[in-house]
Amino acid sequence: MLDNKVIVITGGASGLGLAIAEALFKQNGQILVFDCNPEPFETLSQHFDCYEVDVTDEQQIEQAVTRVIQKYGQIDVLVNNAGIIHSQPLVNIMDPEQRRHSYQAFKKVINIDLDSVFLMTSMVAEQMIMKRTKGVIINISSISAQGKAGQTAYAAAKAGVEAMTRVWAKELAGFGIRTNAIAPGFINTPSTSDALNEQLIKDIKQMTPMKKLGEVEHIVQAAIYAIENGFVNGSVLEVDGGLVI
Amino acid sequence: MNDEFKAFIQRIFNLNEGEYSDSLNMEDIANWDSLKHMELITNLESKYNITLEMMEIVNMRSIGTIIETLQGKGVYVG
Repeated sequence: MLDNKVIVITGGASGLGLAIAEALFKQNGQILVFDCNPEPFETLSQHFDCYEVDVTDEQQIEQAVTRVIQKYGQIDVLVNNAGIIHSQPLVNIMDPEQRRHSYQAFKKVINIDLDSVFLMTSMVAEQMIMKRTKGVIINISSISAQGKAGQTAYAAAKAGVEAMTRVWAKELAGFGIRTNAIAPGFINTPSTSDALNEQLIKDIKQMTPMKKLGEVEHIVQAAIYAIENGFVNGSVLEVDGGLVI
Repeated sequence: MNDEFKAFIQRIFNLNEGEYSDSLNMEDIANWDSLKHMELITNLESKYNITLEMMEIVNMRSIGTIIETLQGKGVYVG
């Protein structure tokens, strides 16, 4: 059980972030959702403390983290989950209007998927150090960090997230702060079925040694493991049914 | 000098027996960078069961100031 640990989850108002939030709440965590979309807050605020934050905006993060510290005194766990997926080949010879990968799109993905993790963690880790909190940072990566064709920006961002995970695991360990990443494979979520057609899902299942998609619960179990196991630090937990091996 | 404190400092900064001196500062010890400073702080807090304030952390730039800071916390290692 998480004993009322103060847990900040970015992008926690929907999708995988929400699933993690709900599961950690059931484990007795005090859940704080940082999300740029406040629409679900009315419902979510029954169980969660919700903050409207654009996690690419340094000033907004600083204000939100300050409010959290004033209210709760410390942050025990940060889950950097917020992000977007963007798929586009480096060169698409079939599209004469947009033959090369959009630089604007590249920068946007890096900003949302990589810069946000840097900004959030620098501010939360600073507070953990100041308050002597032996906290945990969990970065949500992806199997795309290995270099998935058609995802230059997303793969670059997630590879960057994994590199930062290892750096922070070394830098912050002296303060008792552990940093780990979770790299989900293909998970059975509405966003997966929206993004991939039935045949592609069938092909992915075939390519995966476990011959199935993962469930959200598998990611949640990895998050709980990363929080509770005091000797796991700098790891990238690949939760993908063996897809990347 | 308290032998235990001397051994503690030697261990943190990987100093040999003859290299220790109260007058050593950050410039004298090659590996005393900001990360090593973090390690020093957490080890001092844990060893002497104290909590250092931010100003104290920033000001501890020599063995002498570490000793003075500890004395200010009621820990006498001199």
